[in-house]
Amino acid sequence: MSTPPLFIGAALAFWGWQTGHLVVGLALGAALEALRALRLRIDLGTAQHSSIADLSTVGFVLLAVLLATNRGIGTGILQAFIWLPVAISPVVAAQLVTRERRLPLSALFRYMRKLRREHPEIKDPKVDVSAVYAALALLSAGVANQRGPEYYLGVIAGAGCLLYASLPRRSAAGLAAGAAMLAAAAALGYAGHVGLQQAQLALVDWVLDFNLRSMDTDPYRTRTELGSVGRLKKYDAIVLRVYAQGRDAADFQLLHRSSYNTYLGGTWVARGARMQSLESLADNETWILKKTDVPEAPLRHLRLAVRLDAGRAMLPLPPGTTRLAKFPAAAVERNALGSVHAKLAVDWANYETLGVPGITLYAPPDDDDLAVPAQERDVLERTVRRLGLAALSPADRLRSIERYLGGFTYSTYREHAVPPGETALGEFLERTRKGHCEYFATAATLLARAAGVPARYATGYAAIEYSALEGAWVVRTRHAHAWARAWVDGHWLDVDTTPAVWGPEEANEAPLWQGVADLLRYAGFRWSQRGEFRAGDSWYAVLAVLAVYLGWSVLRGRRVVRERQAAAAARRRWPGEDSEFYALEKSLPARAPSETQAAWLRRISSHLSSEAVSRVAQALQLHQRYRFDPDGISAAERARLRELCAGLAAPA
Amino acid sequence: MKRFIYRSLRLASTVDHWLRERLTYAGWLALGMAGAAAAAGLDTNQTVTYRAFTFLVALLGLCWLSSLALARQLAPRLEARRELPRYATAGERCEYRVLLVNRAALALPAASVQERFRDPRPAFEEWRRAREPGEERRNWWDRTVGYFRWRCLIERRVPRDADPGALEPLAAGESRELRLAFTPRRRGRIEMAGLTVSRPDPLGLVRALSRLPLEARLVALPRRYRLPEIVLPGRRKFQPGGVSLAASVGDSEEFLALRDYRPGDPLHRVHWKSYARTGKPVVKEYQDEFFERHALVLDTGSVQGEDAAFEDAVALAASFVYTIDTHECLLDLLFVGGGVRAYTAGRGQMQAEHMLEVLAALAPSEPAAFAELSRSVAGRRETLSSVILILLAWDAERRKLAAALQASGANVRALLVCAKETRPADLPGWVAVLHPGEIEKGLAGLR
Repeated sequence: MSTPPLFIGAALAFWGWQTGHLVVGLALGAALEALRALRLRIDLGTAQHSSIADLSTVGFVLLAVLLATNRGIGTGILQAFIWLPVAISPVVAAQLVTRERRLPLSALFRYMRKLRREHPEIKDPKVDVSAVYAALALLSAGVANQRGPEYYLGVIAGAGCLLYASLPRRSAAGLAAGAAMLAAAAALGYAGHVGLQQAQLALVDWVLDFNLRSMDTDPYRTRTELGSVGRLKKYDAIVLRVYAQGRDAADFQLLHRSSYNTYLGGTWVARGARMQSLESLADNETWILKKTDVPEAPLRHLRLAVRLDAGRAMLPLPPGTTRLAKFPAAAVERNALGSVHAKLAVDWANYETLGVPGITLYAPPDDDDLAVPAQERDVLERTVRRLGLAALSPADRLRSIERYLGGFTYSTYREHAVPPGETALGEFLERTRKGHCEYFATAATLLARAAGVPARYATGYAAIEYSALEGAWVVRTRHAHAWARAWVDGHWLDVDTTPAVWGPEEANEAPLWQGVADLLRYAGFRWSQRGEFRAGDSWYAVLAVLAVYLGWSVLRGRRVVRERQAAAAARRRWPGEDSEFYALEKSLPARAPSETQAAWLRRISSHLSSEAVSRVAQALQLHQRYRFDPDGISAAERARLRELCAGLAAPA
Repeated sequence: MKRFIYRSLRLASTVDHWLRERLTYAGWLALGMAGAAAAAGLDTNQTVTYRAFTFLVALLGLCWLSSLALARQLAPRLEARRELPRYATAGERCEYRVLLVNRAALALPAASVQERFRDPRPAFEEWRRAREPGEERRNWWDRTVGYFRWRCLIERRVPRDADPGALEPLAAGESRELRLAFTPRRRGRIEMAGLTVSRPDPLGLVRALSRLPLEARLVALPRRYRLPEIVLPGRRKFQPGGVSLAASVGDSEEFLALRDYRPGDPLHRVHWKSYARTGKPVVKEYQDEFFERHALVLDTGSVQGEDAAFEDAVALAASFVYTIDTHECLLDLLFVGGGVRAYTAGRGQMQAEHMLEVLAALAPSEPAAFAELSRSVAGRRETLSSVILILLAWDAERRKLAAALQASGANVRALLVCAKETRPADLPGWVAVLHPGEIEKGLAGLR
């Protein structure tokens, strides 16, 4: 399927317009159209076409890899697709300079070449790839994501031109029917793509809603696994790395992400704690979480690297953090309960934390921090009475609660559902006395509240595993933790009542291959920390030299001729086919099929004059050299042959 | 799982065939671009290629609907008759004529006519049990999925290069002759289901189809090689079958004399008139039958199915059958095909083309079955002037047969067809080795 004149140029100009590379599009289109109009032809064979196609493919793949490395796989591949018309333009250029204006199909497919080596009988048809190329240019233009109507109109116009050019018969009725169908398809396509986009929006909404219900990163609510039957699933993926001196580890063991103040039947909610955007300082890398008069200092040299999910994360922060540094985020939000949310288009975000000792800077307690849910009230009050908390000071009340829950057992497994009439928390406190961190944190928070101490439910990570390989504290998804945050003597205090055995117990469940998996994770992390590759002038110079060398190696030794000569050469099926001697032979007495030309000349010599015989003999000698001598004959000899034959044939 | 894979392959073949029948080059381009646009536009927020996708899908859908309407124009009664040759040959282009008559009152617009072959998709059991030549060299995934086996089974049954013929507009009652052609990929039976008349829609993307049922069968004979001048030894041997086997080959039945009866002479040789005259039993004596008889023994034992070596061995056998002049001798073809099979060509017996038909349907056998063939050949060695052995392997059993035949005085010519890498090290010099793909080169060295 071929393209009408100037179609490739128009398609590339459209591509350039849509992608913002108008100059490149116009230049490339003009170059290809010039090649089409040029009278010079190069006799490229299958091997040359194959080399050009292979080099173009390699170039495109390298570009895609480079872009995918720098900008992420999805974005990189799409960006590479934008440059596809440029990357494969040598293939079309090679087609346009060959005499047939076609190239062998096997040049485009290595597998086909392999098959043909094994089965030479497989056909290798010559194909015209210009229509495919132009269509790809139109498609690539769409990757640039220009949301106006121009792209759609361009595609319709391009399709119309191509289809019109490919029609074998063009009757008026047929053209009218075709135009009507094209218009109908344009209308249907428009309705289709509007509907498709609406459908995707609805789907995205649904998926986001579904995910947020189960994700632990929602600053507004977290659904606990209280009462869930079976084993709590934990994973080994590393989500956070903390770089600090080893002795500081105990001080920042709990890295806070979100706090919640209201408990509603298994779900903790952050009521009245809206996320508010923060402004960075002038360096765009420093974010003030809370203004303070207390002098800030680097908080124990903490540097953190957190994994982002689709460019978003709730930042794990050590207690008392008031400022984030070296953090080039696109946006940062925080709420009054200490949750900090960031957006950054990378896989891993690095940041440093500064702050002051203690966690006094978050919002002071209010009525919500003393609320006890009605369902749990009885069991909580019974426990408070049993522990005699009313008579103790707030600090002692907390210590008593810690001691009391310290006698419980850590378990991630629950055999049966909550009996009717009971709550998961009530059963935990009075009957099973075993559970995972969410039981302990919820129980501690609500017991403190029942005892009159304001408290919140806090979630985050526990940094309890040091990796000698990475020289950092690695935090896995199974290190996700929950604890209580209580208000004592005018400041917030983290109260972790989960038995300390929870860390070692969960570490025992790590798979055997965790060491190898960690090695790969570390390699992946280090890879993600590389800088973006930027090509400088020297790189472009090397590429230019390479391109020249490749072009020379492909075209080396290829014959370049004018189109007319190429056509004449193509018409000649064997050397010397155009010799005038054949016409001369026909004008003389017939030669028998089994007779050589020399024998024939001897036989007919009696019918010719001696001069004519001599001239025919000369012409025959030149003809046979023209026909069979690998070196051919000179231009003068060729002229002489023509002259001899013309002179002899004329009288006849 | 196997059945799921089979169903998937079957479904993929159906879709592929459906598309190939209907889509023009422009249609394929539109479909390909729609696929690429869909892939690039999966996220409608990232690119706008989804707009090209919906447009192209709408375009193809409309063209398909219009092709359904156009198919009704092609539906008028069209009669067709094929004039097929008697045989085709594997690898050779087979041309034939088709006569089309428009029996309807309406004119038939210009269209394309293409041969339609019988559904080539293998049944589940056939696909499961079959082995593609060289399948053992494929990787685990390919062997498990069996896609290449599936393709091989389909390609065996469908000839290649079955190009459509262009049919000019046909007025009511008018008839026109078309020349169609195809190239059989391999020997065996080719089954044709009918003809397909097609015409593209106004935009030239999708073809409207009308099918003419017209069943036919054609046998594709094995491909043949040009053999060098091979002189087969002309020593004649006594043939117990005598003239009943070959009426005018060797010495004709000739009455020699009468002689006295000797115990053991058959009763039907008693000359009753002389017996009556002389009063003692007299029998007629005839001259014995002696003529040349050659055996062509084809080794069909192959564990790798119909691979290149097996096919070349069959082609070699076909070349010998085709080349040896059986006017003056007999030629026995022996091979294993569900038991030892023996066919004889020569005057009064089968003709060479019948033997080629037999070879066209030949399938590989278990390698162990060669012992049976060996016994059968050895059993008739006394009658054979020469034996041509076409072998696929060189082992103790085959070595033993060759030695026994040579010991009996028969001229033995052995040709081993095998891949270069499997050439046996202990091969005697008189065994000619031919490699698949280089058979003609190997044959040129034969004397």
